[in-house]
Amino acid sequence: MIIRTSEIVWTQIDQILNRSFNQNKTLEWGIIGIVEKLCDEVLLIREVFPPTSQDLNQSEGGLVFLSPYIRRAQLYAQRQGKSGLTFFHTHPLADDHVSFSIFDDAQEPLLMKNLQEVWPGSEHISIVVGKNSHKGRVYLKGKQVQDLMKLYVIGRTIKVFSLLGNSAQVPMPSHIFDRAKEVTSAGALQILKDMKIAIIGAGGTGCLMVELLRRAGCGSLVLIDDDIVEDTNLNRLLFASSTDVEDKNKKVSVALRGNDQCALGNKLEIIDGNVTSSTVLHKLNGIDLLIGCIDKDYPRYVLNDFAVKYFVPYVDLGTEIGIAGNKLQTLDARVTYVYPGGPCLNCRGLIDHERIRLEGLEPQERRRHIGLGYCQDIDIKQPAVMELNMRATSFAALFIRHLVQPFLDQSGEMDFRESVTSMTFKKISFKKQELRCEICGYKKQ
Amino acid sequence: MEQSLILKQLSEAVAGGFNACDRMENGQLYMLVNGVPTLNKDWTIATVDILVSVPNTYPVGGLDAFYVDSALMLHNGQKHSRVQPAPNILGKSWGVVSWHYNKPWSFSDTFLTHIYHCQDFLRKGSRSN
Repeated sequence: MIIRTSEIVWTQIDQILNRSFNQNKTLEWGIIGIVEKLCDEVLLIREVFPPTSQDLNQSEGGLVFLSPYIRRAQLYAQRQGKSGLTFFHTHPLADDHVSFSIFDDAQEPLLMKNLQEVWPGSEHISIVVGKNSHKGRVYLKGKQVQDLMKLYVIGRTIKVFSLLGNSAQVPMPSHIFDRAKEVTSAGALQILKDMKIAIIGAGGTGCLMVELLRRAGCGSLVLIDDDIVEDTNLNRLLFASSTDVEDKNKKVSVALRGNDQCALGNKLEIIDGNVTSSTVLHKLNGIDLLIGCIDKDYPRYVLNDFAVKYFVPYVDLGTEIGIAGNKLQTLDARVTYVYPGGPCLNCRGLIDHERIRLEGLEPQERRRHIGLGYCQDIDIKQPAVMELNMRATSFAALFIRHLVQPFLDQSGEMDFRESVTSMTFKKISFKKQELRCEICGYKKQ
Repeated sequence: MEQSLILKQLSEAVAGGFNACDRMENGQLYMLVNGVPTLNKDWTIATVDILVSVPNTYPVGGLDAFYVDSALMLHNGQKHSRVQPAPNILGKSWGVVSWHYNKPWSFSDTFLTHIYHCQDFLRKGSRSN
């Protein structure tokens, strides 16, 4: 079981807890977070309940969360329909190794039992924090206690903390990755290996993302698509052949065959489905990173909404070949990163609601609406070439390495476009003027 | 598309005084509203049936435009310039009305508010441009 939170929330937690390590080094500090259970594997901490000066009893003997503080947090969380509380507290003298004290082991079960009695069905977390280590456990329904594995902090980058009480012990990576260790060190490689990454779309960009990520050391990939291979895909679909067209093979099956051939030790799970179905979307609950390789706006909307709601980092990519008359005008590749606290695809103007309406109409009805002359023709198959797809996926894969081991300039929002025709590559600033985004709540400062 | 939302919004339209129901043809969902008052003497008939296509991306993909019974004519014997011929749907002849929103579809819009929007076109009679 893992915990996910946002960089904004983590900063609030860190500001309180760091007092133990930066100021009086014998005083324990604590803070309560509000827990939301996303699924059996993932717990979210979406907000915290910072203590006032009367909320903690900090003596040399240990820290006590005073009951008015706990009750306020509990009532707030209960009213919000959340699943429980997280108690963070420090052990100021712990550095690379931290564990629950005898006092914690004696008192904590009593507190959790009491909370579960007054708040039936609730589940609560306890995390003890050392200077460079964290240890966590969760008190589940039915009095079961389980160790927590990791804490993911999602923001402009992805930070991963082990909750096993030690600074992460990184095993020696395989020699396959020797030539990449300057870009992705052993620690970052271990994060990529452990993360479960979903690629939505197994077409021209999706198949390349799978290729790049398995060779970057990503250990667990999930590929989702319900399309079959068509002859017009063969100019850009990795591992696909004319036999796949004749046999009407699924794009995900072709990708799986390619993955098996490479035998690099990564796992590829395929899902023959569409994320606009709630059954398929539900399968994304345990995912640590989403990559959108789709050319329709409704699934893009669904993924964006999911990412914003559940603090899942989301890398969306796309390419566009612009034609005016018979002349090629533009060749653009785009990579956009959505993270909690930043603007989403909606407020960046990358989701077109008119297209979503048209995508939802049956072909005959759609043609009638297009005939009214108010909207673009979305029936036309968009032009696509592998070389341009490679530019978008290549940058997206580098960007994913950056997320776990930063090397890019992080000023501005994470939205990059390359115009091949003008030979320019730039970060796009957030332009759309909106009061407040109805999906992510982002407001331009 | 959430079936429960469709049913809820149809019920709201019925509660709002409209004879609304859902129909399906060739995989496309429609909202059919029989006998909508035309509210303007420019028209030769006092009530008209309207038909609205509902995208399967609803409510994110909103409603826009609508069909009217092809019997809808102006008193000068002309069809309204915004009404273009449309093929038969649900075994009936329709005209498609190019009548769009000035603002984006929002989550506060519903089947009922869209019927009101369609009625705005009818209310304006020959003046609806």
